[in-house]
Amino acid sequence: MRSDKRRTLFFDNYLQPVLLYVNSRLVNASISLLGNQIMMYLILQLEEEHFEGCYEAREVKFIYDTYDGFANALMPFIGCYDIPNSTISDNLDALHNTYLINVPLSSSEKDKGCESFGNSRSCLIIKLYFDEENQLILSNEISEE
Amino acid sequence: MDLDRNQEALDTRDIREVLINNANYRFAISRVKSASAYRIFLFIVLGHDLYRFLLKKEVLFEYDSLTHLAEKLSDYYSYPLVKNKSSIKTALKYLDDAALIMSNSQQPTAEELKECELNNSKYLFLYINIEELLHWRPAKCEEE
Repeated sequence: MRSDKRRTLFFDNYLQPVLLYVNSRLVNASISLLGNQIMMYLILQLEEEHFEGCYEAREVKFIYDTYDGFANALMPFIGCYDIPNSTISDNLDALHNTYLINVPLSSSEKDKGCESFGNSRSCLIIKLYFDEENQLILSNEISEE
Repeated sequence: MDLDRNQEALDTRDIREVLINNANYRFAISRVKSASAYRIFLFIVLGHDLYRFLLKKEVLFEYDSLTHLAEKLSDYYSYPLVKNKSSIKTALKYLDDAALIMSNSQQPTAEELKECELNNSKYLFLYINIEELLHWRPAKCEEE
């Protein structure tokens, strides 16, 4: 196993505190196994560049080509079974309701982040918010601009 | 799914990421849907020092009882994970079934019994075989 020391340092210093906070919130919210796995997947997608040079509150945005695109990206992480889009949608809704992630309605973001999939297609956007100390903050704590 | 490409990508990840990834596969294959079992697994992998996993192939976690484990889980998550001891026992059984975390709650080994005797206490032993889980991948996706 060729574990990357840099990734391990990043995991310890940045991801661990986020995971501890997120997992505690998920226990409290009685989220399903799949919901837990989706949240874990999203956190583990975070890279150093999401944190580098950021000393202020910010959002991290993941963009997927609809629910199918998200399911395809998620599959290698969660294992070998097909998950209906409705199940993924239900779990994303449940996570959205915990405020750990923000899954905006596609129509409101259509023109802002979906260009890579073509403007005629809808896409799935998932946002996470972090404070200046790199801790995840709840979406309902974000002030509307 | 391209497992070879996925395996290659795993190599640069932290071993805890790989353990969680592989555990997800075992949950899927064994059809375990228990969020409590998943949280116990995450507690074992994320709630302990990484070096504990690097030094040995098989790592042992000892608890006085199911209640003691429940207390540790509550401390870690800052929230009670399960309602009662039987829920924890069920979750541990799921983890055992998925070959993720083995426990002695059913049949302690002679060595474990001896240790319990020496300490004049009942113990709950949980084992995770890091080496085996790290290098394990399903040969192919099994049909439902």
